[in-house]
Amino acid sequence: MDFCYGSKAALQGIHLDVEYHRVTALIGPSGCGKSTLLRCINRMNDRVAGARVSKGEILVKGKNIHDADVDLTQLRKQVGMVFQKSNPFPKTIYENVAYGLRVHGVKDKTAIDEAVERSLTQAALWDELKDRLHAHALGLSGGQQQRLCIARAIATMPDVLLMDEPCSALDPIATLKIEELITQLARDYTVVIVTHNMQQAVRVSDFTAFLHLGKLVEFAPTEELFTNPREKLTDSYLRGTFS
Amino acid sequence: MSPVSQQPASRPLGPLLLRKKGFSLFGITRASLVRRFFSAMASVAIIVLVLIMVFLLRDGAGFLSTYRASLDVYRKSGMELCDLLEQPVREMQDKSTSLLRRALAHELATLTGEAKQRRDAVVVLIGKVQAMSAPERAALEVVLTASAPPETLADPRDQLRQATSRAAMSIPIPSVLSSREVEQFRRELATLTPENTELLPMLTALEAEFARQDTAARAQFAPLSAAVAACEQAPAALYETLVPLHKHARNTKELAQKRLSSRDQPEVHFPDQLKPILDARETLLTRLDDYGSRLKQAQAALPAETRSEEAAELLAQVRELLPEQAVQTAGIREKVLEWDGMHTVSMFHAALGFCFGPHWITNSPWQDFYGVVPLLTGSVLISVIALLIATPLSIAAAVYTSQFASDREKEYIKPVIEFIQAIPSIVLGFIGIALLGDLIKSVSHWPLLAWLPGFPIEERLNMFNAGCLLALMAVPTMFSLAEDALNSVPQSYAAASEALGATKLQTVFRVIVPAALSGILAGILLGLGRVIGETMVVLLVAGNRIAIPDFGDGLGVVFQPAHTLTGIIAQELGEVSRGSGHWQALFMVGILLFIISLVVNWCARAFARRLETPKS
Amino acid sequence: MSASNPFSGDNDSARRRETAMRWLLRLGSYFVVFVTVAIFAHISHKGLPALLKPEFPYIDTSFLTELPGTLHVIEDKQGRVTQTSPQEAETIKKQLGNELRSEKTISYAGGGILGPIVGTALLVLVSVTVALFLGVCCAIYLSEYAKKGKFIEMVRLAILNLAGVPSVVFGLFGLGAFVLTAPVLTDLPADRAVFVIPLGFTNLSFQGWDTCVLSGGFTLAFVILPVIITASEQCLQAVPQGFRETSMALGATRWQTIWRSVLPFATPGILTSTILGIARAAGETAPIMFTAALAFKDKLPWQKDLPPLPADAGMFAHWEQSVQRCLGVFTESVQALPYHIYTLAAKIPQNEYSEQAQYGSVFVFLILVASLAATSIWLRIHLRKKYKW
Repeated sequence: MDFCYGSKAALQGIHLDVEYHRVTALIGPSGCGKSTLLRCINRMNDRVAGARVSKGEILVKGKNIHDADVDLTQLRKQVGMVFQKSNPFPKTIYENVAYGLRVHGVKDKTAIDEAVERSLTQAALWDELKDRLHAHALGLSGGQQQRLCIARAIATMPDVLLMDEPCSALDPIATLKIEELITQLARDYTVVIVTHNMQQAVRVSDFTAFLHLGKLVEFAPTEELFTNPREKLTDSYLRGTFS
Repeated sequence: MSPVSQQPASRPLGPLLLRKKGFSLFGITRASLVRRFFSAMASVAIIVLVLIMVFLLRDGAGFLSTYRASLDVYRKSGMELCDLLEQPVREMQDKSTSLLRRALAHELATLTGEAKQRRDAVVVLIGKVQAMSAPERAALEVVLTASAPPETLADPRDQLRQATSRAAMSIPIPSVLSSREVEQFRRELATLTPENTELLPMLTALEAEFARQDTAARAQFAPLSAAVAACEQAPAALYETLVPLHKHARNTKELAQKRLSSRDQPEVHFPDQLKPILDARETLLTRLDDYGSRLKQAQAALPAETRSEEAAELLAQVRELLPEQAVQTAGIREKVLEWDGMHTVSMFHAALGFCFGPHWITNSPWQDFYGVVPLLTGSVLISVIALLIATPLSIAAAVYTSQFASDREKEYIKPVIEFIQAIPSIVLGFIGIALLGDLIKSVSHWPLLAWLPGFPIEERLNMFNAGCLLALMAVPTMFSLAEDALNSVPQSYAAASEALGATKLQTVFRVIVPAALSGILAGILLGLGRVIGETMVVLLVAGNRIAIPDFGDGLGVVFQPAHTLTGIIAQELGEVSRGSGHWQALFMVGILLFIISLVVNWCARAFARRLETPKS
Repeated sequence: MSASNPFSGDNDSARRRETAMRWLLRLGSYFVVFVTVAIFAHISHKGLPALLKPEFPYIDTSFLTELPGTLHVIEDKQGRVTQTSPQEAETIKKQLGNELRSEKTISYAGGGILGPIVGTALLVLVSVTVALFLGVCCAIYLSEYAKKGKFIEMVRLAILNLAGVPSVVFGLFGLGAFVLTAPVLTDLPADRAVFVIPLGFTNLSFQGWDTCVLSGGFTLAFVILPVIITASEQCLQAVPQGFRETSMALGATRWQTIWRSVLPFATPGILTSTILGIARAAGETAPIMFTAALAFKDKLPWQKDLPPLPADAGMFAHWEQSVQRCLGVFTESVQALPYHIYTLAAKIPQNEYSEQAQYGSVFVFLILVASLAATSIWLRIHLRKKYKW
């Protein structure tokens, strides 16, 4: 698959098979196109004027997501996303989690209540927050906010969860919690995570893809890639000879 | 460069750079002097605000005592007692007699309706024929007034005759006239020339027929017309008793005023002056009771059966109204008995009279009242209309421009809306008089829209008209503040919402608009401030009728004319003498406006501050 | 279909609602734009004829160069209608003799609008001079000297509130402060003076300036003061901090820094915003109603009746009189364009003859004010491109 912003090519010749219900990590130096690749999967790049996939296709559940009959809202409902910086809406905690359901037309109060409880529990927030569901979300700590964002993303029961450096703005303890969460989520969801932190990739992922300058250099099970990289470039990156 | 380098570089720089001790005044250095100068300049804004308050108060503060004194004389001269009796009675009379008259008219119409229709049709037709031959008529008139020789008259006369008969033959005649009558009427119409000064025989006949039927009908409805007359006559005796009292009270007031204007005049001894009025109180009360019993008689005399449904309905209303009025009469009686003419009017009473008084009456030969309620109602109603129109429009425009519009659309939508701010208010007021008034009026006469409340409207200049124009004035303020607020919502909210599969519209209305809400509200409030303080548009367009609008016809109230706080100052200040009670009252209105503007501003700021508080 | 396409759109109605809503919003925006353009077009369509004439060169400037007067409408027996001035009306009536059918007079609607234009220009001159001086000084303090504190908060609060005060209240203030109270130097204090301070050679009497250009100009100055302060402060803030630091590092005093390295760069912006202030001052009616404006005046402000000088008057007497003439311009009431429009709209009947004067004045006024505002906006965009630090 090729991808470009206007005339500037951002990704070239990527071929990647993401395994079902596994955590796949995308690593690479800054500007290598990790985030762009991630954002292709739920077509968030459509928001950027001039951005398009110029060659190849992205198949999710066997369907090319750029086909004309693909409904963007349905695609994004099934491919959730968590952003680098936590961005809860300026609403209550409850409303934040319920938002995805509401925009997809769920009106049943009990269904929403259940979904809120389920997703907050999965995001390991339920015990902390069950008493103040109607407090303002912006009053939470950074780690809680990010987990709330994860809860919000999984409230619509997506099949795939995309995470764009979800821990980069957090302190180590909050990071640890999120990482535990990711491992747990992999039981129910297919997770694709972009990370800067190679230790994190080792800790959480089952597969790792290494990208460099918009090209896929190596894609392998995490253990294999980190202990025995096939490519020289991967090796030197892992050793830290360039970044 | 070369001349400089050729100069002998010799003077040592050191002494030049060492600053000498600067200029100082009373031990203040120049730097701090400059600083003080600027800080004094900065305080200009505060000073002006304080000065505005001071000057408004200087001319307005005396109002309460002036008004108190005036109300005091009003009470002690006995005028208050007269009004206490007369005004409610007059109001009641207006209501009941107008209902009764309408009932009678409906009843008469059942018998004389056809005759009236025939007569009216003939009158209309005559007018139409004359209009159709208007050009020939005008030509003949030109010749006639020129006192030309008689032979030149023949030709235009002939032409007029031809035109008239052509019109008489071609005009469609409604079916109220029988075919024989139609023929006769066409013949008569053809003679409608300036020489024929007599009424057409047809019209005379129909007129006579109608008059005959009318008399007959009146005879048949004798009980009703008698009831109407009885009701009309009910308060006559009361009014008659009041006339000398009015005169006496006014006389007392004049004496008191003379005494106020110069010390040489003898002091007025109010208890003595009031005595005749107090003595008459008993008589007045008897008259009032008499009025009440007359009302009862009138009710008893109301005929039980009517020919038309409308009359039956109106009479039912009257039947409901009259007992109510009897209760009211008892209330009046109590008030008159309680009234104490020697009880001095308090400042508090005067203040209440200003804030809640329902009348703004000036230059009256009887008594001036400065009650601000009619003006305030007008101002508030117009502002509400303006906000109801401006808010959806400006928010729609702001949402569209900031979220949906392409860059090219933005390039002209924004400047055009901002351009509205540059249109002076007087120009908009002129548009209201010259264009919008007639536009609204003619639209309201479309039969299609007759179901709307208040349609068709009579007054060209009304609150709705002013509200529309003020809405236009408020749009730019609201639009730019709302647009700023929407633009300052972080992009990440939109990204998060869209990643959850929300459509653009859902994102905008569920996330972006709520996040920008406090900014939008601040914009609406500032728009309100602009609208309520606006002068020229309301002065020109609102219709300037000083009365509390009649809320009886529901939403149609917006099509009534009204006066406003700002308008009254602009209209009346130029014509009053400095320092008079009226002048002071206008400054009080100014103080009220000033306070309103401060409050609105404060609220807007409170909202805007909520927007500024960092979200974390 | 759904088996092969897990992401098929499920409902068309949602999409239709989406489109409908989008169109509704677009409609709202375009409605506002349409109304604005329609008003402008209507005024131009009806007002432009006042400046045109049927023969070459098609532009008739007499509307701009004549004083307002009474319009005489004379109709003869052929139904021909002539609109003319009072003087010509006499001659025409004589010519017509008994051909005359009717004559109507409409006050204020004849002649041109030179008087109001000149009056508005004078008012704007005074108000902008005053407001610019006060406003820029205030802005310099706020942006250069002020430290955070109670005083500054109060100043900012006052500026915000001043911006919200209704213009008619400014009118009342101007009436109380300038027309009736402001101090004048006079040998003979009037009775109405609030108080008098004797200065020996003359008296400083607080008796007010009466309704005149000065009173009106000062009142308008305070109306536009918040606009000028806010805009000037923004311009000063826009000058990069580095300029100040460099200057201070070279040992310049604060004032030298402001004078040499801040003001010169802020001046273009300040002047631009001043134009906006001019447009605002020219457009206000309520503040000048009681402080400066007259409904009718048949002379220009400088054509004041002064006692004729004796034939042998010296140079000095002539010079003194012309100075008096010049200063007299500011101590007289004038006609102002917005007030003239008010008179035309409210005090004379609406008919086909008064229409031209009404729409003509409104058109000229709107063009003046709008072009000022447009210039200001254009300059602001232009300057922003030019000065990018």
